[in-house]
Amino acid sequence: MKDFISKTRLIGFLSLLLILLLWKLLSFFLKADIILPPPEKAFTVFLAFIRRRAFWAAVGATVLRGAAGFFLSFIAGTLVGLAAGANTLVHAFIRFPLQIIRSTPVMSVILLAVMWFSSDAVPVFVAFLMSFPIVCQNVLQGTLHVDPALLEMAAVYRLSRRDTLLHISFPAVLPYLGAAATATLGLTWKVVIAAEVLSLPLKAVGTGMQFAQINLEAAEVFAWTITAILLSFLSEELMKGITAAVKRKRGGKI
Amino acid sequence: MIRITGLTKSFDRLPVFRDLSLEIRRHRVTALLGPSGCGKTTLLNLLSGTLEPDGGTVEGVEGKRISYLFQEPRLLPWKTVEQNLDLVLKAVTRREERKELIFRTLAAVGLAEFAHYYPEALSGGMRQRAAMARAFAYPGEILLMDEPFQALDLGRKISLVRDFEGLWRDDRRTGIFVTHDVHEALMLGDCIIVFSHRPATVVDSMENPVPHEERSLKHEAILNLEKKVYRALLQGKGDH
Repeated sequence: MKDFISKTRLIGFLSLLLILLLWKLLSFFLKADIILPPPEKAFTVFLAFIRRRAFWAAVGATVLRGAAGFFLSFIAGTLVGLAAGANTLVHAFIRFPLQIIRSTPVMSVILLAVMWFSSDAVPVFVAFLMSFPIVCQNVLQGTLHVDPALLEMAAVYRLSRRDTLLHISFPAVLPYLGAAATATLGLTWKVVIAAEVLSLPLKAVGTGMQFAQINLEAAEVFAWTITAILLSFLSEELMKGITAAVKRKRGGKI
Repeated sequence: MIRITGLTKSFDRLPVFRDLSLEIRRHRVTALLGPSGCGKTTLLNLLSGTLEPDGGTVEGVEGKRISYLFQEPRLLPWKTVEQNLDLVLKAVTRREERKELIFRTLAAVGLAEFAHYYPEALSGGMRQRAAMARAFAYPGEILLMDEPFQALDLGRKISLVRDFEGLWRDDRRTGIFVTHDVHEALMLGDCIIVFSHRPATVVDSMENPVPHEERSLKHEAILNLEKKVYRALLQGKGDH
């Protein structure tokens, strides 16, 4: 098993090297840093970035916006999903709005939000709106898969509605929430940065990216992109850690 | 006394009970015996209040707490054995009494040292024991049991029946035990009621003359009762 893990890690590392090699070759043959700078230049710019306070302020602000959108969609999506699972009328009521939100292009939402909200609120709103249907749908699925035998046991032993919800329904929904978290996390960073590119808040990864593009600094665009990829990677690792901790607490169940 | 009078229940127009009447005496174990699908579980669910009858009355269960030992353990997989018992007890038992009651009951079924285990870590027999401990720790005046030993092999079944006997003798709560295993009914039932195929009717109701402590499948009175039970079961088949 250990051999297998080290082998898969090695293959993963080799694929990363291959991407870098292709990047290097393309930039070498293009000979146009303004279009495609070599990887070492992008990484040099990135290393210069991390020494600047303004960079960390931009990353911090983007993280806060992403986290706000993510948690708001989680709270609202969980509550609405639980309500829809418990009541068929609520389910029927939310089905059409969820369908509309899911089908609306992200760009339409961003452009409208730019007109409605302050530049700081736009990414939060967009992240919320894009993640909300996923969380809601997953929680709803979870409620539909609560074991009826356990609910019958709860009814016979006269468990209160609160206890039934807290100790039976909610834990049964938890794996679906975990799946929603994984699905929305990557999406959150993408839509938050896209919204920042268009709404241009004072401090933001997206704003940095947009200014770099206006100034034709392709290496800086790549450096900001590396930042976005690292954000996504670190948040996914954090989520894996949280999922593992919850799993341990639940006796190996999630 | 639990009195069922003129009970009628159908599922999708298929009658399970049509004018069923029977009486169940308190502080005894009544075994309900009959072929699979004759409506024994439906009767338990009507008694527990999780199902409503189409007609007729069920007296003697109103407002009473009910313990239920299901065919499967129905333990919450994300809670330890102790937490599973604690959950059903917290609304009916004071906190300071709860822990002691849980450990005493778990000890009676040989699971005291497994209190902090999750159900997944236990064998099938141990899980059903934990469910039995939950049913007995809960202060139900009536204990409903729906073929709780069905999924177990013979050795585990015998051991679980012994545990049941030990716990039941402590409080002699009214037990209603559904089974299609004649030997289980003979060993546990103070009264054995035999049902026919659906729509179920009572074919015969027999008293077990042997006290719990003396019961054995080789006991002469039990052997005679066994013959009567088989005769009633055959008659039940013939009725339909």
